Amino acid sequence: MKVPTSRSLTAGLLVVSVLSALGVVLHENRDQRGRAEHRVEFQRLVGGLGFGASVDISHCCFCFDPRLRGVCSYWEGPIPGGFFLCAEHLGRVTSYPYLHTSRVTESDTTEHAASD
Amino acid sequence: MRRLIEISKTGLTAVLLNRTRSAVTVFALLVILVPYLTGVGLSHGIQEDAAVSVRIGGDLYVTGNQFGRNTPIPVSLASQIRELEGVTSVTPRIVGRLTLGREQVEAVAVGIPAAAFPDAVQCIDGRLPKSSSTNEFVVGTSLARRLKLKNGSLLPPFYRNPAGEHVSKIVGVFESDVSLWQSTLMFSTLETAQKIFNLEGMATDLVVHCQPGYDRNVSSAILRTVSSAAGGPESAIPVTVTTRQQLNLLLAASGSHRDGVFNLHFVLAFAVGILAVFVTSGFGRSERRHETGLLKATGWQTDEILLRSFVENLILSIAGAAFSILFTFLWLKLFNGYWIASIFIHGLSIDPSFPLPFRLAPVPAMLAFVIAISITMCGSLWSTWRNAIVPPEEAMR
Repeated sequence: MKVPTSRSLTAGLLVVSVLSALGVVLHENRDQRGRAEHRVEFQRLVGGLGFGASVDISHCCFCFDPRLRGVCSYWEGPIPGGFFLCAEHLGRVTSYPYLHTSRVTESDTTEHAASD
Repeated sequence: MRRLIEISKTGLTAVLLNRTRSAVTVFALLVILVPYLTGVGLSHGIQEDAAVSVRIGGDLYVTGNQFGRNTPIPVSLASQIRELEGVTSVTPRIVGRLTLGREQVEAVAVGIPAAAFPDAVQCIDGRLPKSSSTNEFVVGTSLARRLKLKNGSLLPPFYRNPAGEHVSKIVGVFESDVSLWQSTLMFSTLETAQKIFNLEGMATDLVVHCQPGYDRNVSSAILRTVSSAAGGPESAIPVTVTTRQQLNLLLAASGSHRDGVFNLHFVLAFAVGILAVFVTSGFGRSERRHETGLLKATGWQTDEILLRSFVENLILSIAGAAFSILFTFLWLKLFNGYWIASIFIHGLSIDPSFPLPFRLAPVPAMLAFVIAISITMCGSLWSTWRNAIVPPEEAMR
């Protein structure tokens, strides 16, 4: 008689935990929308700041915000796996390729100088 | 059908009969899935905040570029860029690194011209800084906590400037829920930031806002006209332009990059999890082999034993995944990711001073169930089958 009682309890616990997990996922995806106003105001104030999983720029500016520096400070391109020499690129939760910014070329400058 | 249901019910009984094995299996799933869900949840949260940062930020960011590195840019260029067709505003900005106090606490100093400040803000507990002889700052929550700063606190001079150093005053603290990037911020006017870094007339970048559809033309115009003219023809400063479009591409690429790097680490953890379940489901435990032998001796067929094992593992994997989701939620919401968040976010203290950007999306939650089922099934079905195909007397030996 003991096993069937435990079985019902276990089945009940399982159902409750699955429903709770579902509730958590649904709640999480609804809850986040409320934070938007403060975030927008902050970003408007600072002109857009922050991109990656880092709270300071002591180690890698690129990991904090690629607008500050388009490549990782520790990038060792020619070495196989050189990207991962930066501690912030190993096991962190955000990862993105290097920023290919638009730069002025010699021809642009020459063209401009000629037009002057 | 009824027979199959009855056999399936014995799967639940098997969970209770092998309590140690069940507990170890669920624990193994928790150990693997909680860090995984935490990482993925934080990643999604940060990505959402980054999307806001890109959307609300400037259309273009203009910086100096020398020797392949970003360099300061003269503020005077702002007026030149303002004259370009399609430009609505240009805001010089300073973003720089500072260390404060004996403990060399890291801070990110940001300076924006006071004229660009909005009239009132809700995201600060206090007021916006003004340009005065006393340097005024709004600080982030982590910085305020570490240096015990509050509204009205004074900071002794922490910088060197030939024109003289002044005491700094804290006039506000950012609200904790605005962003994770506020935590070490020292926000001030551009004039104050220039004094702090001893860079009069310079900024680290110019934040350009354009009329819709003009960003590409403005970007090209900046590269053509501003680069060569900056600082006069003899000291031309090449400039770099970062567009919102480039940042959006980076944001889109970050999902796949993250999945690649992050999941690679967890593949190893999943492999270890499979081995743990493998050991507890037959190869390491003689009780499991005896049990299978007894079932065979009492007339159970191999497929019936496999069905029983399948249901048992399905229950354990569902329980493991559900507990992992609940545990992750409690850890990150109730305990605000105490300790675990500092593993994933650089520079974060063990006890974060702001609500973590965390979003448990439905796909990773579903993935947790799939991973749990894969681990338990891979780790147990084959060993169960191996035990079930041998004669009962051999299994019970």
